[in-house]
Amino acid sequence: MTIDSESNERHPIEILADEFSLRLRKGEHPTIEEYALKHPEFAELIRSIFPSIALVERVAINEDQQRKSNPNLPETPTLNRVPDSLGDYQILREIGRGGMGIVYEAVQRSLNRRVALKVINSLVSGNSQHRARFRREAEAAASLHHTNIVPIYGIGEDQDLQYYAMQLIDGVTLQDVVDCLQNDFVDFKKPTSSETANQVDSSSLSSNIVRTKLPFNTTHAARLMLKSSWTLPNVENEPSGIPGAKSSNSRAATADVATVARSELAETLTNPHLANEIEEVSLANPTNKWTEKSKHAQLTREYFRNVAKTIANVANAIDYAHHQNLLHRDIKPANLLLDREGTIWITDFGLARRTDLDAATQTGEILGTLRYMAPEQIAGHGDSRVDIYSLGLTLFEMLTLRPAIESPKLRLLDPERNSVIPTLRSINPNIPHDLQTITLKACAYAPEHRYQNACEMEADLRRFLEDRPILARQTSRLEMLMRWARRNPAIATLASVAIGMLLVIASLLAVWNRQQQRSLFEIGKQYNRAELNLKEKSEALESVRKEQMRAEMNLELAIKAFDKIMDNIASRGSTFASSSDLGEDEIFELNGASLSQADVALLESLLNFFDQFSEQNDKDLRVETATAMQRVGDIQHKIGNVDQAEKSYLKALNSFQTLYKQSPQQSSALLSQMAIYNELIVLNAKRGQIPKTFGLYQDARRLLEQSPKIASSADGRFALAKLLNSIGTLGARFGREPRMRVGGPLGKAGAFGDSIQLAQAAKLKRESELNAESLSLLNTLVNESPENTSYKIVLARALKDEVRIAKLLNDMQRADEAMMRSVEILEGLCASHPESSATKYELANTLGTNVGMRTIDMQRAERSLSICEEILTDHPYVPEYLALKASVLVKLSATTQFTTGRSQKAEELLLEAIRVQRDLANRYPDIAGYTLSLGQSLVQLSELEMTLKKPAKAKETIDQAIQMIESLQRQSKGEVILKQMIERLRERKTLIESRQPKKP
Amino acid sequence: MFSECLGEVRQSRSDRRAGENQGVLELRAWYNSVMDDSSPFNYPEPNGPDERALLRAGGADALADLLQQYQAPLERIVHFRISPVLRSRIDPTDVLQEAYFEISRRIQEYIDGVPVSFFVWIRQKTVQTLIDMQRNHLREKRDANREVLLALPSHGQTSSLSIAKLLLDDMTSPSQAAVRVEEIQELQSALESMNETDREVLAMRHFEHLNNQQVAEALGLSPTAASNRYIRAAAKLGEILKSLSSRHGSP
Repeated sequence: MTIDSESNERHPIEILADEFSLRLRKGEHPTIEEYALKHPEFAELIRSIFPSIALVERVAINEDQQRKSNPNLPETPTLNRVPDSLGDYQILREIGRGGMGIVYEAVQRSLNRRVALKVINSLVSGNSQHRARFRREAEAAASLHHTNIVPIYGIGEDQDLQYYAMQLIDGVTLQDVVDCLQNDFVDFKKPTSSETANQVDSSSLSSNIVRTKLPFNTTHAARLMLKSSWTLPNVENEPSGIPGAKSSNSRAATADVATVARSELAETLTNPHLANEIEEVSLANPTNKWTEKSKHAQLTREYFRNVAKTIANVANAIDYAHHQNLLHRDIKPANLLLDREGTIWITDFGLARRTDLDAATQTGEILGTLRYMAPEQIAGHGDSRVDIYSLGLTLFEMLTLRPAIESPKLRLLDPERNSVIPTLRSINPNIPHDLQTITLKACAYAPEHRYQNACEMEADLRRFLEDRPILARQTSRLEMLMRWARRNPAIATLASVAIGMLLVIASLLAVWNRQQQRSLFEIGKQYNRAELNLKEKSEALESVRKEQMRAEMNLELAIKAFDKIMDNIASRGSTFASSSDLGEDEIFELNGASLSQADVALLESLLNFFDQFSEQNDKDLRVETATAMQRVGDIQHKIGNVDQAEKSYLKALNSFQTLYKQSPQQSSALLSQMAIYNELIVLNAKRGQIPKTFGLYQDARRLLEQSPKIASSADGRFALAKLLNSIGTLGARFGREPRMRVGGPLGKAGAFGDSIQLAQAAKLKRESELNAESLSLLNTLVNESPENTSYKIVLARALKDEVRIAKLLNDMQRADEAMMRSVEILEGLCASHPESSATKYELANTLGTNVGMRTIDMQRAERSLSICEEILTDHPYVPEYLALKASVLVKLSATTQFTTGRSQKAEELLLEAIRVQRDLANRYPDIAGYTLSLGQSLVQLSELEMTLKKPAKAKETIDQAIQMIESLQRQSKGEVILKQMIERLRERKTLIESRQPKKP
Repeated sequence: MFSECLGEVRQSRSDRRAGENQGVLELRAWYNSVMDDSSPFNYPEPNGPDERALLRAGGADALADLLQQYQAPLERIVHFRISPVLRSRIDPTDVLQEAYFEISRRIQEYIDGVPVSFFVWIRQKTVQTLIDMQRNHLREKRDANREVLLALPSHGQTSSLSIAKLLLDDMTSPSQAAVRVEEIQELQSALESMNETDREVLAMRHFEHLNNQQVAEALGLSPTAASNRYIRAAAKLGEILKSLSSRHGSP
């Protein structure tokens, strides 16, 4: 369409598209780039719209051609007539047909020999130009002489039909073999028709009877490939070093075909391995519909070796032809014939029509071939490396029994995306690693990444066969990841998920000090948004190269992002043992509580991600995987899924142990184990399994001491200090039955008698010693590196624990001193890091610690509360801060009630605390700790209500509490404490009921 | 002039789907709102006065000549439009015969001033004939072919089914036949999610080989609108194929 006067009314691109379509219809091959370059202002739109126009136009042209060639049967283009004879050849029967033409079995009268005669579809041979070219190419092909290339006897033209004659091969195509292995396992159960079986039987009875040739069918060929002792006849090509193969074979190839065939059959029948396979299959699948797995199971190591041998021979032949300057251009399983001796034959050498698409499209044949075409060949150019690519895809299909490329037609539209090749071992893990490497190298997207000639490929296949190291480089890790990302768009999306995360985390780090506690779930939501943005953007700018670069970048970033994510989780999730303690009556640690089940899901997806990496890369990502596993445990622990948490921890521990054994110099694997032991100790304490915790403690300590170098390092000592601190404070935190509030008229704790008191005292003493050791280690560490904030914070926490221990030991002076020191350290930290909410939080936490048995220092508590308010002004929704505030309020309430008896005031404070706690429990239903705290506050409230003479309300409140704890117990398995707690609550309820004034 | 044009469009499309007339009006409203055109109802003078004059002067012979001239494109159109269900039962030549009869019966209407080009007019008559024939065919054998009747897609869907089938034809090997059926259905439903007029524009351009002007006339659009719609449809098709390719093309 020319640009005429009305052009201003039409969309400019539509005008161009019109011209583009018309040119395609005329048989020209305009390229999209040419339009894009000519009209740079519309380049983007042209690049996005023209490919689909080209595709539709090609389809329409194809349809037209088919309609014209046969209007009644538009879907099967055929030759209209089948002559009885052509030139010197008398046609006997049709053997097969393809897009290029029909193959007949024929007799060459002058020589009285049987030949295969291929008659070219008139659509292909259409015009004189095509005919001349065909003749030239056939002549070139006829000059090839190679063991594995079907020789061409002659070419001719008769009755307006072009044809060529070639040697008749008694064989089947590899395509048939693949299809057979893919679909027809049933055939192997009864390996042949009954007559064949009879023949085998009779021949085994009288082994020397020479029989007529068995018909060689696909099943035979498939069995040949599965066979263990089969070697290829043309051992000349094989490097020396395979003794025996030579002598037995060349003779077998010619001498007694029947014997060979028979022994094959017998062997297959008697092969116990194969027989087992069959049995399994038939057992598992009574309907004979067998699974992908069983299909793969039949592929023995020998099958893979046979495939490698076969393809090596093909490569040898291709290399020979390439040296004669002849490309095949259409290597595919359907063009490779396997004969009964196991010789592989390449047919149609050099006879594939030129690589321009239109001619191929016209015949409809392109679609059979498009699947195996190299990307550059689709684009209309390419050198000898296109044959390497196609051979690679053929190898792929032989190994995996499925085509490498699923949607060949879409390759026209978007060659790169639709040329993505999956890894072979992801389809069948039994495929040898080296064969995968060879295959993937042969069909690398870029020609320069492939084998540069067929000889190299052959050599590598032979190396594989001889168990020598192949030359194909294990692509470097990064390179591998990049290419892998290209091959696995779905997983690469996951990597781009990680890049989204990284963006968020980067911004997160910028405000790190101000906003330390942040839910990974929140991050997840943000990365979703970022990912969406990225996607939209990239779709708008859709260009193959950009896409690719992004994938490559993403993988690098994914690893970095992983580290950041782990830091983030670690900062929130791995400080159970030594983190802040909200008071002696609290059972659970509450900080970092914003982790949730969603975080577990996110992390597990990361784990999958790394598993995928590891599959390709045996070693490199194990540290990451183990760490991720540890964090999954952390989160599960946090949200009260104790059993799952223990499983995750044990898995992570196991991985780190292995890593550590392999490289004992690496302190990180050891330190990670220490951290996990710490978590396991707390976890088991929660379950009430105190003896087990001491076992764990001893294991951990022994482990550390086995490596004196690490033990004496600062990190080692720090790890030990943390361990001591957790084990030392366990008794106080988990060892007793939970001490419910005993203040008020209901609390009479003395009922348990003196023995418990004594046991308590012994425990306390031990705890005191352990914590003292921890304190001394920490003191030294702080002295050694006064700049280290972590040491100081952990020291401050240990001192806070010391406050509680000393208090229980009635050593008030020691308690006071510890408190002073803890406050002093934290005040110092707050002064040097005035912007840090985290330090302020620690300070408020210490200040909020009880000093008396049930009382709190009112002044300190007020200060603690005001710090809480201060940090909450900056971060109003951080759950830890809210939890601390509520906890201090609860203590203030108790203290007010206990010291002043102002129940009204106490109730006010408590109700305020409960309001906050209820909010938290609602927001984070996953986290047991919040609900538990709320339950405890409710118990306290019910007592207060009794004091305030509101028994009905008190009963209501305690019912609420019981309900709450019961539902918590249903959710979280393994928390022994909850059970004990419910029992106590029930007792309390009975008590309340008994005190309830009878109705007058 | 305009009302006649609208009438023609109405008639040709009246059988496609209930409420289609409404659709034409909506299209017009859409055109009003979207196009930067001061006089939206100012459809271009159809080119083809020569043919009209030829017919006026030459009578039946002239008509026969002209029909002969347009036979190939009409055949293509029938071939593309014919329902796959009936492809084996209705011969495209019969459709053309029937259409020619109808055309010659009503040729005076055209000469008297149906404001579209001759080709677009006979195309519409031909498509209409095809639709009627298909319907009659099924009505006659209703009892025997109840399931076929149910399976016969409405006209608008025919073009999407045809496109889908053509696009995915022989793209897969026989062993993947089941997958292919699914893909065809998938592509078809994706195509059906396109605006029907857009899809028609695409089909007319590429499978019927109509040019922009003809598409505009056939659908009662301005050339600008037809042109814009074509670009929109091609972009949408690209998206559909991309999403299919990412679903089926990746492992």
